[in-house]
Amino acid sequence: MAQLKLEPPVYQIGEYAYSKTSGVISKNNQLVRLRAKESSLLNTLIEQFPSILTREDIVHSLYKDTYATDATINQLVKRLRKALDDNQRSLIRTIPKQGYMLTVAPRPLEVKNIEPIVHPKYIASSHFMDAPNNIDIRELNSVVAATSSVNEATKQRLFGAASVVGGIMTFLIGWSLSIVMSAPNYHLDAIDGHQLEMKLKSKLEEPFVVREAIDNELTLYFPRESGIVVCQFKEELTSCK
Amino acid sequence: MQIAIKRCKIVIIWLLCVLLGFSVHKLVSTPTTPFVGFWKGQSIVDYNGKQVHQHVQLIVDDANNEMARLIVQFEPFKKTEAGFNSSTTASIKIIKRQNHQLTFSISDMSYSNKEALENYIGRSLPTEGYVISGQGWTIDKNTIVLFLTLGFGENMGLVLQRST
Repeated sequence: MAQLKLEPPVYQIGEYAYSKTSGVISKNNQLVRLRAKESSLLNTLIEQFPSILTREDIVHSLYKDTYATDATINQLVKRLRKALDDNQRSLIRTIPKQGYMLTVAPRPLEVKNIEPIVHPKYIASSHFMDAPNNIDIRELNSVVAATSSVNEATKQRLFGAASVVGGIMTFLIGWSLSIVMSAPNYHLDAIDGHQLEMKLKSKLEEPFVVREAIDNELTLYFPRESGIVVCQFKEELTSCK
Repeated sequence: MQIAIKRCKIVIIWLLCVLLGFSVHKLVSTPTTPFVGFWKGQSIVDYNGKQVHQHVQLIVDDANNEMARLIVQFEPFKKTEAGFNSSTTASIKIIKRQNHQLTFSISDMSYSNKEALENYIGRSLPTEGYVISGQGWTIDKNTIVLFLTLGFGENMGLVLQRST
């Protein structure tokens, strides 16, 4: 799972740092992403501070196109408190017959070295057993797009690297083919004494050279119409008979 | 579809790279490339019973134009004989390429102290036209062999070694 980051704007709420954009809080030296509805509720509480957030406000801002009962709202507040470990209700206070409010003023924080979130993973809190059923599709899509673009960029780089390596290798293949297919070198292979006997017994048509046992001494045989011209290369001097 | 087009483009580029590698090698490598360099050697040639010691230098600058320069210094092989020093420079041009051998002509010979050499060997030396023909081979990276047929039919084998 990719590392979560706090995206600005970030607020200090009690002991937590919370990102309104990404719905991530820093909790116990870890970053945890709140569920969408919980995050939206906390955003609304921050915006409403220091005013009380009424149930009507909650329905209007979080359940605009749907229907929510008091029980639904109670459960949502309960889940948010649990996510913030606010068992004592010291962070989110219930104002009887009115609504809810934050007990501490959210303070904007400057967060350095923020990196974009890669994976839009909703972390199920340990206390929450049911599967999430309120996923913010727009947020999910934007993060999935970011994830895809990062993967795509990596793929492009690998593809480019493979193309360059392939180009170099095919160039070398072409070079090697040219060597293989090129005209024979004008080369006389040196033969040994045993091969010489065989050569002299056969009809000579091409010149050849015998490399003597002594270093740098050669005997060259040049077939001519009039016979074989034998040349000796010894002590850097060539003489022919 | 777009991926398929992209892959086709890559395959075409690779094929062009094969062609490029092939062409570049053909361009830089000619049959005379192994002969490029400065070569030295000595030989003894028998002219009518007179042995002439020849110090030969062969300069092949550029394999592409297939021409070279030959410098030969002549002196009596037997030190007991009256000494003389003569030299010649000539142009070598490749005239035929067959399997395993290059055939060249030696021409434009320019002598110094030509008379002394002619007196020694007892004949005139030609200077114009294709006076000498020869073949050349390589033995290894630092050794080449020339076999020359001289103006009057003498044969001369010559092993030259690369001079650094």
